[in-house]
Amino acid sequence: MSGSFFYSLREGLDGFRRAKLASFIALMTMSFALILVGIVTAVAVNLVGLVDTMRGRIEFEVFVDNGLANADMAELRQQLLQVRGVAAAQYISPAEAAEIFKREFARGDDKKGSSFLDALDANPLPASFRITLQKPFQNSAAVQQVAQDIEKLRGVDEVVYRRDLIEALDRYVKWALLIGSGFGIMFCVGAFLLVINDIRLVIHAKRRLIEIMQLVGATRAFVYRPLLVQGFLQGIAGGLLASGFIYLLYRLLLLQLGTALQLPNFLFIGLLLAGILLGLAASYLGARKYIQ
Amino acid sequence: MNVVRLSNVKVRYRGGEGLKNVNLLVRNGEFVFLVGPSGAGKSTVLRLIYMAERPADGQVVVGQFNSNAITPKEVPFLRRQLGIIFQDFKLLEDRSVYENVAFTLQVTGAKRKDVKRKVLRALTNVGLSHKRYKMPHELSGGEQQRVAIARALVNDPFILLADEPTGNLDPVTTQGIMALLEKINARGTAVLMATHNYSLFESRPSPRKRVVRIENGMTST
Repeated sequence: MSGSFFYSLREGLDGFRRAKLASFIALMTMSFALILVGIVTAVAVNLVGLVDTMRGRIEFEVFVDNGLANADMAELRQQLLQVRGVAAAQYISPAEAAEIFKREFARGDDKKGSSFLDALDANPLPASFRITLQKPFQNSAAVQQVAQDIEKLRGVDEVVYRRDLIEALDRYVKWALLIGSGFGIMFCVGAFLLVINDIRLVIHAKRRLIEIMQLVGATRAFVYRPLLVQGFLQGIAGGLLASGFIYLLYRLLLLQLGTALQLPNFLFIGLLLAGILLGLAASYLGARKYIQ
Repeated sequence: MNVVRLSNVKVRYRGGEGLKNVNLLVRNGEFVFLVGPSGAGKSTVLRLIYMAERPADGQVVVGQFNSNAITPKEVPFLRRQLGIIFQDFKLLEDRSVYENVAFTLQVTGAKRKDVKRKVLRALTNVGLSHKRYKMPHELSGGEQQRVAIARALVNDPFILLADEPTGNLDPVTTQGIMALLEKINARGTAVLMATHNYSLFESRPSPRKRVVRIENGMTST
């Protein structure tokens, strides 16, 4: 058993030497396919991350009736927190609202915002709550429902949020993910078919070897084994090459863009596993044609 | 004792007639010529014996294996008891003479120490041990067929199946190969040789030899 194991290993390794060009082309195609998969995955991960960040920024401004007492304010906050979908409710007093107003409308030398409020005898800004939503409620349909629930609460004057922005986000993200996944899947399937074809050519070159093995009494498993070993090794090599390339590309983009791009570790493990599976599957499919 | 028996075998080819009724018996130590024109079905008979093909009707018995009962997993174990040679030698061009012969033992899981001994013995039997490091393309046609014979013999088969083994060889080399097959037969290995060349039988008569004719998918003695 151990002898035949080493024989399969030796033959599998020898396969590269005996068909250098075909093996090299198959390896390059495999690496290219995996690089494509890796890039598509990395783009998707970053896109989803970006969308998550944007959704996380969805906020409501809940303006409170001017006459509401402090005690009622505390109760209102409790009620807000009990509304389905609300993650947090940050109280913003009129004084804090004035500070925010001044900060946002008085940039640089322009002191208009500041002077506008200063010109008034009293602070006209109402108290408010800044509401952030739980993750499952960060979409246009849920936002609308949460806003309606809040509007029903006693002491709430007005609920303000960027409905158009949320709806646009929902619409564009849906299309972007749909089109992106469509192209991604199409590229990957095309690349995988190329890999399978290339490895099949490597196996085609070995059809005589397979024929003779069977004629002299090798079992099916024995015939398959060196071919699968070669596919396995090709998969590992392709996975490593693709991982290396994507890591270099990532470092280069970081240097150039300076932005916080995500490159999860599972991507490298996934590429290695995908390479191995692809190599094994392509070798199996290629060999099956010639093995009775 | 019978080593091969085909009884009322029928085979259908795709888009044409195959074997209609083939009966063939090869006994232990016999040298049987299966003679017939091209396309008569000689190679199909050999394929039936090494079970690359199954009969549509009738049965093929080879040693303890029966075509009606053998499973695909058992076929390799049948083939390990057969030696097969072809007109086109079927050698691996990227391996040396030694490696070509050793290959048979390696793929059947033989122990390393046995491989060397058996390969050298088989190559000595065909007179090629001195060329064991040569590549097939460095050998003549006759020598390549001898390597194929060594490969077929290395597992000590009870029968050697030869499919037009001299078809690609000149008359002198043909006589050399025939002499080698006779030597192998004299040591007790049965030989079944498919050929269209009846003179191979006529020119080297022997009491061990017998002819079975095949024509239009039917055998006759």
